[in-house]
Amino acid sequence: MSKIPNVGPVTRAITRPNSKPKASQSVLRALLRRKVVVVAIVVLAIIVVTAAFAPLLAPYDPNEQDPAASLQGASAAHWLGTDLLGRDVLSRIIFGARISLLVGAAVVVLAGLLGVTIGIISGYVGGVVDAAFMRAIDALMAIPVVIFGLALGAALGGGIGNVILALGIGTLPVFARVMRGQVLGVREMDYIKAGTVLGIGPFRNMLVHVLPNCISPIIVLMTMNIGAAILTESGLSFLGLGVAPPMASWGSMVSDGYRFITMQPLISFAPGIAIVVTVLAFNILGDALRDVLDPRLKGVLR
Amino acid sequence: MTAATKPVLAVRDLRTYFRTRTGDVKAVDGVSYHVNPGEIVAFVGESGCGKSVTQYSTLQLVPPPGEVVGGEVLFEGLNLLDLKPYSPQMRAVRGGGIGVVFQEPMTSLNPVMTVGKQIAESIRVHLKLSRADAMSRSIDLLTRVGIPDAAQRARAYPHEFSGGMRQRVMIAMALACDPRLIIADEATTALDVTTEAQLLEMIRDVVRETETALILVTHNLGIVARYADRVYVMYAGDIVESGTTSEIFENPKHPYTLGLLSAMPRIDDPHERQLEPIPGVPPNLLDKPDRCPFMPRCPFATATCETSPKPLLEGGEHSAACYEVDRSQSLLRAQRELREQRAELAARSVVNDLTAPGGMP
Amino acid sequence: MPSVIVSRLFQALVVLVFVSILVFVMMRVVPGDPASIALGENATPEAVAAMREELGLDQPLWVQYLTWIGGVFTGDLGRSIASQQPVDQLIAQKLPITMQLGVTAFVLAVLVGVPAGVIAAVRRGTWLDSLLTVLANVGMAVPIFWLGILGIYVFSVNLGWLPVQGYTPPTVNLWENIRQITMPVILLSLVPLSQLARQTRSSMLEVVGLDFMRTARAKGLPRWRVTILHGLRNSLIPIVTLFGVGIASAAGGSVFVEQIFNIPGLGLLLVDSIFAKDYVVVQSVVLLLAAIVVAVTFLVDITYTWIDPRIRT
Repeated sequence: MSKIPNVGPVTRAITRPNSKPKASQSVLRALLRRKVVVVAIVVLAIIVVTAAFAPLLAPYDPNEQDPAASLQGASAAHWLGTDLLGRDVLSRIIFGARISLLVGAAVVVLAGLLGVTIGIISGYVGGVVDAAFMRAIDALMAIPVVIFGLALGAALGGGIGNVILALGIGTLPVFARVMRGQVLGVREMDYIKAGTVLGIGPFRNMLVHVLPNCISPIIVLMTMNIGAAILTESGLSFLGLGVAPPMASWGSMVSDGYRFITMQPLISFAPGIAIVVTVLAFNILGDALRDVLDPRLKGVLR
Repeated sequence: MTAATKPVLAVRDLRTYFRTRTGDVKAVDGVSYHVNPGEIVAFVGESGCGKSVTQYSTLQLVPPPGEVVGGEVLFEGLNLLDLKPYSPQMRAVRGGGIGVVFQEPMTSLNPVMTVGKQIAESIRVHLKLSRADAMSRSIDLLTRVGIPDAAQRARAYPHEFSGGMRQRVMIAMALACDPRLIIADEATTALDVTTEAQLLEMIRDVVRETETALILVTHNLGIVARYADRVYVMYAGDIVESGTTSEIFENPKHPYTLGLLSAMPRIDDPHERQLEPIPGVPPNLLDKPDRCPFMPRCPFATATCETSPKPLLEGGEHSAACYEVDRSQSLLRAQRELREQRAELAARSVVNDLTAPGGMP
Repeated sequence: MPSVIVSRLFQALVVLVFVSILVFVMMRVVPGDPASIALGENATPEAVAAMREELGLDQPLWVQYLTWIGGVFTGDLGRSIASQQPVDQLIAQKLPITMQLGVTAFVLAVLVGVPAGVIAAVRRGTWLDSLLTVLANVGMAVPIFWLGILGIYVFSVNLGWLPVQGYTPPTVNLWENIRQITMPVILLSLVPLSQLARQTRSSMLEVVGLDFMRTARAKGLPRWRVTILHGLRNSLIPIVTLFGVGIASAAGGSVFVEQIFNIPGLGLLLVDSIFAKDYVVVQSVVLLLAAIVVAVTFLVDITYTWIDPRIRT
């Protein structure tokens, strides 16, 4: 604490070191105010923990076949029944969480990195470059994400890595747009111009001054888009793109179970419920984060 | 105006509270007043004293968490507080019986509807005219309030008008259905002085012509002095003084009114006179105790003032809600005498200068 | 005003060109040679070379691109590698089917979603608002394909009210057509409906406390006028902006819906072609779908000035 010479109480109060709670603490408190959000966070925590400790929590090996127990309904031994090859549905769902979370996170991180980069460059450089980038982004947005993921993913050869790449590219437009907007807003501010006058290179100027202000909208966007990424991935898996058997993604489980819908509906239904719950929880969290951090994003959708 | 004239609006013991998590904010705390036909009545007071909320309360336009919790608002025989906000009778009063001019011309008009249509809308709903008739009446109104080229301008949107012009539109809208009363809530506060003067002159002319009563809510004493017939002075949710304009300005009774007038520069003040602001701040309306709200800032406050319940208006044409009216009156008289003495001295010294040897050639 | 339309039109065309380039490039990253894939493992090198020539694969890339784009204008989009049918014929057959589904779904989404959002906003804080909000949130979290399967299980297999799959054109048998598209249309409309409801509610809530709303109430206008003509009309921009997203949603969703209900539309064609590596079909169909999205977005852009006269550019 700096030494303050003989000053009156008013000055002392103003110059006292900041005793406000850290920003992250107040965000957390604001988030936890609504019960729905608390529930969503708890649910997500459960899902993440389940995925992380899948080998310990799953009652069976997800790939363990047991032909004798084929297509059984829910029972004490198999809470959600078994599929055609006698594999335990519950275990497969638990392990499927890993895929969904992995893909969801990877897609939004990739989209975030790519989109933010494009957005910063576009916004900072301006002019024809900006216009060209923005039309390219518009073009990307014109192709529905599912179709883009399907076409590019299949063209690249299928497989989960290519799906992540394809969806990452398909989701980047909204990040690019928001980031560009932020840059445009900040670019004209005096402290940026001061930096330029002082001789700070544009790259460093951008990094040090622009980025920190833009972190919160990016975080909000990422959370709001994880749900969509998981949905899209499950859709692509349903169609046959993505993980290869015997690994199971929730989407591919739904597809596998379609044939047996009359005999063992759980094979298709259960993973769908898992998808709904996970996506819903992420969406609720995303909305809450947006309301707390940056209500201006209300007009900007995923 | 005979004693038998029935007031257009008679409000009795109106109370409006804002319900918050920490308690009730008593924005309007038992206010009674009336407006006679064709009168111009001013509500004056500082920001937050409740003068605007009082007006909105009579029309049930107070947004939540505000709530009118008590009182009577009698308009043309009906107690408006008994009606539900969207009931046909209430809707007939709103716009049809009472017109409102709001403070912010920039935001008080619907940005996506032409000006002519917004006025015509009111006319069609209340007077049941056809679209064409309503529009032509609307254009007439625009001309009446001083908008040139009204037929063209009626098809323009609010953002194509300046602030002063937009207020004229609002006034036209308030007048559209021949209301018996117009409430102008700080209608000119957001405008520049010149526009303000023009607008007020126009408003006064129009209401005199149509014999419409007018409530002027303002914090500008100059406007009150020039245009109002009667004045209600409000402080912290209460009316602390009421009377005719001349009475209030020449013989203010309530210490708050005295304070307001002292803080106002006068053209006949000697130029060394300092403006005297009223020390202190208005009370917190959240834990409002039942005593005179002005007491903490009042130079005449006594121990009785601190312990007695809230004083009420005495009644009569000029009344103040104060226990110590006599003392303030004697101070006033003393001030006036002092001023007259000084003026006399100044006049005499001028004469001396004029007649002394070596004075003016 | 016309200058705005012209500049927006120009922008849309630029976007379309970029889309075509994007789609073209996407289809060319295929590892492996489309000709040999099409002909199978036992093809002779001569047959492969002949096929390559036929498909124009021996030409430089930019020539192939221009040939394709030129074909867009002349109507010659090549032949499907898998079925040998001319692509423009395939599209002509299947586009109306997908359009019927998509347009109906979109209209349903608007007619149900927007009023739901208005009601939720007007009745903010009540059980009705909570219910509608929850439904909208769930609507955005449900995978279409899964719900479709669920729907078939309940309504077709168990209750027998609606057919499991298939498509009959409305001109042939209207009633059957309606029965067949009921579930697909409802499924397709879910996501845009939920988005519209949420956005409408959110925009209305922002508007409801604004000054001009108070003026409207003070004028003694009936409640519906205040809510719709003053409230909703001022909230329209973000809502209408979602129309473009809604169309993209419907296009994407049709891929699943046509698969599950076995409806021979563009979505089904697209999926089959992608897995068959039939790039000739894929590039044109994707371009078409994207063009529809661009067209809708362009139309929405133009209506902005009409909706909000303050917007000039």
